[in-house]
Amino acid sequence: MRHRLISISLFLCLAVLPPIAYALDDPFWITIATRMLIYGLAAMSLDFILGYGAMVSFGHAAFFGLGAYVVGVLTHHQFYDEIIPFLPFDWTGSVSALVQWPLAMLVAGLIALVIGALSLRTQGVYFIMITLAFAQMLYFFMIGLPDYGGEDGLNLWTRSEIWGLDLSESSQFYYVVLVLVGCWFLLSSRMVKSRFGRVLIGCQQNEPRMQTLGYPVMRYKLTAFVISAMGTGLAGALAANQNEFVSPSLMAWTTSGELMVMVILGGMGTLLGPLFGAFLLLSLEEVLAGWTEHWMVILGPILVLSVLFARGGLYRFLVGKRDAK
Amino acid sequence: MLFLEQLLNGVQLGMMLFLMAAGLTLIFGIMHLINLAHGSLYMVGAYVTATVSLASDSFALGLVGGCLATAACGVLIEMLAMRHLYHRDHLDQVLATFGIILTANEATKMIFGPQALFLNPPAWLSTTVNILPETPYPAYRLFVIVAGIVVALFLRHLITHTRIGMLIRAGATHREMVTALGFNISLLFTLVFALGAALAGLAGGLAGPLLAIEVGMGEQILILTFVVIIIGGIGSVKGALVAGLLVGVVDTLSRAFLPTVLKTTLPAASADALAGSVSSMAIYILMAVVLVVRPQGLYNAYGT
Amino acid sequence: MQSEPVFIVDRLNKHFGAIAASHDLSLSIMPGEIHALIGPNGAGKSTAIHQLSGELQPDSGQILFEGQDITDWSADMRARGGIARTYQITSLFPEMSVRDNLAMAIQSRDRHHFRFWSDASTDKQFNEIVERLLAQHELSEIASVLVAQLAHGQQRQVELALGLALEPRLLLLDEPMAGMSRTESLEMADRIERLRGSMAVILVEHDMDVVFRLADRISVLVKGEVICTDQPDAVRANPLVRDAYLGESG
Repeated sequence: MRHRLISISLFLCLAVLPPIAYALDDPFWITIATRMLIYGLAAMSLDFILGYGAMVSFGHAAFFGLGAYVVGVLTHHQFYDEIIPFLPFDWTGSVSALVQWPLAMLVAGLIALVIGALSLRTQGVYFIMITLAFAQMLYFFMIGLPDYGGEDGLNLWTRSEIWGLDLSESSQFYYVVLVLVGCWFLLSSRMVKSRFGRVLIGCQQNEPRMQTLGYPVMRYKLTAFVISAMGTGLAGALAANQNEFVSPSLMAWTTSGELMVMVILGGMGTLLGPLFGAFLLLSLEEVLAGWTEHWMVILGPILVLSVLFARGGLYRFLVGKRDAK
Repeated sequence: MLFLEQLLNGVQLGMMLFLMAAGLTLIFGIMHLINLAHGSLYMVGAYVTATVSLASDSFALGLVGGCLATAACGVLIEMLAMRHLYHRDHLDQVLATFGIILTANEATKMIFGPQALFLNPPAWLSTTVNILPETPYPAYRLFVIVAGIVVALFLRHLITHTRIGMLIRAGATHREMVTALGFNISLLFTLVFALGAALAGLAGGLAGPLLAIEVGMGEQILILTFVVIIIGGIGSVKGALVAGLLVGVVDTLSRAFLPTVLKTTLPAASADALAGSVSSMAIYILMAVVLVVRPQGLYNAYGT
Repeated sequence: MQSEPVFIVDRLNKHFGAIAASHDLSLSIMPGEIHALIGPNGAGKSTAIHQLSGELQPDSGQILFEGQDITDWSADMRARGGIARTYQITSLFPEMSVRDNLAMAIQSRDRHHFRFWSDASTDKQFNEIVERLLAQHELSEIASVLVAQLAHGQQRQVELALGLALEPRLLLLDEPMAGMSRTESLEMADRIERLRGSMAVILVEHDMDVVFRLADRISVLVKGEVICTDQPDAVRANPLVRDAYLGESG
């Protein structure tokens, strides 16, 4: 089947990228690819609710930023050997990835639980605006925290640590990211085919019918929202590591917009589409930025035109439209 | 009295939000279109008003120019892009209008440069008025409040006494019904969009003397506008007014007085930091409370 | 048949602004009966059905099902509690096959959907149930077709099958024959007739031939209020009913 062919070829290409980059004596490719994978992961997580559950969250950058800040705060405290002030117990943080990254997902998930419980009481346009508003609220909250850099952001003096690996080495970090993206892909492909996935897809296609068929839709939508936030939170943790810097701009509403653009350009509801979308958007930004500093004035219309005319996204184009799901 | 001054500041902010929200909510109520580029129209209004005012030395001319230019931009956007989006789902509308924002912001930067523009209020408004004996208050801010009241009255007249208003009140969303009544639906949509744009342009023009005019100002106020619409109820102009005032006052008063209030129980440094964070979140907390109690907003849209 | 009503609607009121869509609307449905709800256009039949299914909350009034007060129950609670409905305007899952549409209804009966890992399409037992249901409704031939590509009449068939898949004890049928040809309507009428006895059915219909053929009793709804509930012949002869219909159509 075409899907399998594309996914296998994609991961194979990605797997051999570092050695090829070194052979071409241009290791910068690894850094670019890592960045694309990280945003791809964030976009894939968003697609789980956008493409399969018709929940248009315009505030996913909040989870991205929260995941990043968890890593930032824990690294900061560990580095300066200071006790974290707002916890009921004494803890000076940690730089272990096995502590930071799951915690990043957990924090993102918990906040999503609260935001989702409030926002999912609404539908359609309300939901879009409300998720945007809550993300904005968190953005201002982070700016207002002077202890962690506020608007200027926070430097991370070291990347997360995994026993046996050195994540400051770019190809090792790249492979860790690639493995995580691969895991998420496997997990989400199982989830969309499962009973839970069926419920989500049913809600996407006809939510009132789901209700009169007896499904208590709220709890499933909320669960999906939380899962989606956790994936994006993990991406944020990885982004913090790659940049070795966290700032509130990760949570800006424009970041939420970018994630949505990646999902659409790549193809929503196609599992891998958003990954392609991340590649596409970030490559486009790089290329256009090379031509002119005002590249956004070109990207804007491209975006409008692709929404108007190329709705299916890149992935569907590659796969052949009729075989899209 | 400090409280009265801050309260009036809140009302003034509320009026600006009302101008933005009224346009956006009408566009949504009639055309079911979520328009992120509304903030860009606000920005255009600010820039054009400032440019014309500085060039012609007349703020009135600037305001008029700003409104007209913004309405014209609105008509242009409507004919080129929005028309194709009315029947699309909201996600498409969000993304397409997001694209418009990126284009507008960058184009503005290209035309005006990245530095902010500054505009002073016109001479006859650069003074203070004694709203109470011994209580001076900036005349310009009073002017903005008055302008908001005038627009509110105008909109009320429009909605209750004109044919367009009749269509709005009937919740005229059905093309067939509207066309059967003898109205040209494309024209109606364009007019409503132009009206919304003009209101946004007016808000932007009025904001000029109060804020730095720069790229990105549109998005700041856009999100506040969304909060206003959520609280007020999509499609309701009355809701836009009430919620606008509510949000304006809550935001202003919490920023002004929360530090003082917190300083009574907390040490100064933490009080300031906490107050800063909480006051910037205040309106979102208000929104969350409204969502719990009444998810559809305070007022229903026309026709429902 | 027992003498206790299985479903009681007690004075439902619903206003939209100044319009009273439902006014002291009362019904009493016996177990196993086919109870038709008729009335001129604009009488409020669809609003009534929406309030019975739980999709619309009445301003006042009470609804009792099998002795329990379900007035505050949400739509999904009612569906799980044994009340199913079909829609006048076909409401299916357009991008799914007929088989998958029925599967959604059958999966609902299981109540537990927090299964994230196993592929739902490989559950043998479940698939057998789905195939049986397809056969029962004579949909096996078109089982793999996407519902959006079906002819209108076939879609209405799936619409009915979806409601019945829940094995309800009360079925709300909102104009099941809407848009169907003569032959299709007759087939649908046969299917509905076979339901008598195994569940109570509230049938909203315009086609009087169908109504008089199928109904055990008929309630006539005019301007949101039930003006008459009786057996078909008595309803036909009732002067109030004649006024309502003849008066309305002038």
